[in-house]
Amino acid sequence: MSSLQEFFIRMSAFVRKEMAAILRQPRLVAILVLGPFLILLLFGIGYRDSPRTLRTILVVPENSRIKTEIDDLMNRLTGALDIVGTVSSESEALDRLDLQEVDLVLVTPADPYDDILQSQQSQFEVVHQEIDPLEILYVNTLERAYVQEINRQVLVRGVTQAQKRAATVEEKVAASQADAAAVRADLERGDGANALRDVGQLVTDFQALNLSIAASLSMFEGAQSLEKAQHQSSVLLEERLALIERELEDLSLLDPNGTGFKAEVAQVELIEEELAAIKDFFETFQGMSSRVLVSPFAGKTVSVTQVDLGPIDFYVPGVIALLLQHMAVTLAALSIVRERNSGTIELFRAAPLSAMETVLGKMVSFMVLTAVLAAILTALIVLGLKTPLLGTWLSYIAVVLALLFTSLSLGFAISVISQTDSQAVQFSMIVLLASIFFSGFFIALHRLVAGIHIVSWLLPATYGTDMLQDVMLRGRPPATLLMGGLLLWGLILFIFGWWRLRHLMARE
Amino acid sequence: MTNDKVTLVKLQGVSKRFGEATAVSDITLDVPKGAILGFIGPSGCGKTTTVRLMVGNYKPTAGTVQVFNRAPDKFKKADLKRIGYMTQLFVLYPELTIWENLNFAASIYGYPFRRKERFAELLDLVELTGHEKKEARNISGGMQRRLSLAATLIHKPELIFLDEPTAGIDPVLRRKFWDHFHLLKEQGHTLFVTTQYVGEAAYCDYVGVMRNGRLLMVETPDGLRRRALGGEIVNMHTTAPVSGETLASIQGLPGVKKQPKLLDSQSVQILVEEADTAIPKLLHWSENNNVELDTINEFVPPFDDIFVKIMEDETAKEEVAA
Repeated sequence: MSSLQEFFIRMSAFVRKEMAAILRQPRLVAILVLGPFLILLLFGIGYRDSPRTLRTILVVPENSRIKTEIDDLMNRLTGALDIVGTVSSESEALDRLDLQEVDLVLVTPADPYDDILQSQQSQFEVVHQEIDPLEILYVNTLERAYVQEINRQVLVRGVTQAQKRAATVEEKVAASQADAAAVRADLERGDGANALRDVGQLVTDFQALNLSIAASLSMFEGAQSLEKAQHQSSVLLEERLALIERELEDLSLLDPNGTGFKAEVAQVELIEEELAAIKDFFETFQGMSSRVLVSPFAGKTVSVTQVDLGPIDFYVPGVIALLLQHMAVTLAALSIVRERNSGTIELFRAAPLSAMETVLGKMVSFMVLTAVLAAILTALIVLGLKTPLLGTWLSYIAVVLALLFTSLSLGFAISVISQTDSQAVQFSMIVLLASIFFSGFFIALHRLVAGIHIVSWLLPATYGTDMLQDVMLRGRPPATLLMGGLLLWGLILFIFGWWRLRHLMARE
Repeated sequence: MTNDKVTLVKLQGVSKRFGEATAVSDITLDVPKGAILGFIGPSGCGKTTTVRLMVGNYKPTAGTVQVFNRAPDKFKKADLKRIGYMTQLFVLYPELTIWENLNFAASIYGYPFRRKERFAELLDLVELTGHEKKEARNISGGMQRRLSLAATLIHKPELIFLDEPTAGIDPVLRRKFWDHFHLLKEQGHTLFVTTQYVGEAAYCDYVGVMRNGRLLMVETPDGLRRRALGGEIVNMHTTAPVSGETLASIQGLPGVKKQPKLLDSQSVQILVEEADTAIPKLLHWSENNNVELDTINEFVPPFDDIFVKIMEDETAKEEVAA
């Protein structure tokens, strides 16, 4: 028999032994397959996609000048805040917060008008007792969103009032237009005396119009800037008013006995054009939504992925990578240390068995076993949880096999440096814990400082999570650099495991 | 030990230390081909270390070990395939069946996949036929030892090291094991067997006695007895009480090594050079001296007593040296 044949026979000893040993434990197989799936299923069932509703108590001081407005606002602001009551004493509200009867205390300002008059922002104070940074972030975001909404409501009210005022302005524009038409008719007839009288009426009506617009000019500025952005040639309302004013000053000096008022007619036509433009502006302004005017821009997020992804879908690739890594690391980590502790290694030393045959035999058996388990887990996830797999199956299989190879190699490396089963299990748990924090499963890698990335890239799950997200959720093939890095790291670990096992199997 | 046979294992001044502790010291030993060499000694005396030095598990701190005329660190795979090693503890896999364990053992020796016949033969030899599908964790300690033995023999090794193969098993099964060992010897195998059961020395061709890491002697079982006692023992029972004069007369006979010991008024124990030649002389002496004998025969003391005697002598020597 050739030495190559004998090599395969010796290697097969471990393939058959490891497979028989694991398959003889149906409970273990069930835990390995169903355990991860059930965890994901429970996560899927239990995960709440809706934002948390915070029980909130309002503090409205007795002397509050905005009590009615607050009540009105709070009736409109629904959703994440569940207003459970209103009190006037802040200490009473804080006591209820302390007793955990409420999640938030919202203290409203007593006299916001006074603050604003003093050029100060009036503050809504939000008191909470969260300790989880994510929950604190949620409260902060909620506070900003609600204050923004309150500000918006105030602005909407202002704009609505301005629109009402705009109707009055429109009437004054119409009066000025009628005056201008009369002046133009007088001039065209050559009736300078009447024209001068009508100019006087126009000046009077225009002054009323000018005052009316000036009183609420700031209200119209937002709409004007939009119009200017839309029509590059447009001029501001103030500029139009100034132009008309200049033309009227000129017309007031009209010679009533003069003839041929060609230039004056042209001046009146210019005034009519400007009045028509002002009228158009106010018509448009009145027709606009006050809500749009105060919040002209809205955001819309569009994903280039072909399907809508839920939060569970996002976590599935990370969970698969983490579970496969943990399963492979634990199996391999216990395998060699058990041979040492049970004394089998003593038998190996006296047998024509090499470290390469041992570690390769174990690698093949565990690869087959974990690949089968991964296939069952994948089928359950894709069919049971309906998680999308947008990329090709070939890419998926390649990533899973590379992940298993490197994870098993990491397990062997752990196994050859561990003295006992407990040490091997502890090492495996440390790898799992490190993977939860540093693999990108829980916290995105960009949130970690660059130095910590070294730890991340020592973990097979980091490569696995990234590549599985690409394959499953983005429909891309795995990045060549990541795949190469994962396989290279696996090879280094495998060689280390083999080298250490050679020492363990050598004579003492 | 005879030197005209082929020597498979040769130890020359071998010592093994673990840090400050000396496990074995200055051992010189030959294991001749086709023999059963037993190693006896109290627990922790260095028997297992000696075996591990021979199978290549340990490197000697001093001295040389040669197996098949080659140092274990120079073993080729072919050399290792000529060696069978049964460890002191059961080190096979409890979760595998007897058949699967045999398969594993066969595979690590590169034994071809057509194994059924060989397995059947071995299971028959160790009387495990019919138990093939039982998991090793569910069989008795004795069956586990037999499984270990079968796994050791699977590749038909020429030289077999058995480290306390009979430890913890009942006397009937121990006897069966020794029957197997003799069968293997008849088939041409060489066996090196360690044991704590001193009585098993009787089944060996040669017996080495160890104490505190030192090899005190290597002898045939009879040679061991003779060496321990300083000769052979003849017990004589007379019909009448034995007088002091009679004892003195016996001591004067040729071949009698020291003053006979009176066991009771009519029984005498005599240490002689050789019992076979001493008994006829004693019969002749009794006729000439009108001493009527009830019985006379060679007394073969059990090896337990021999071993105790060796240990006591050794302790005395150590005390004198101290």
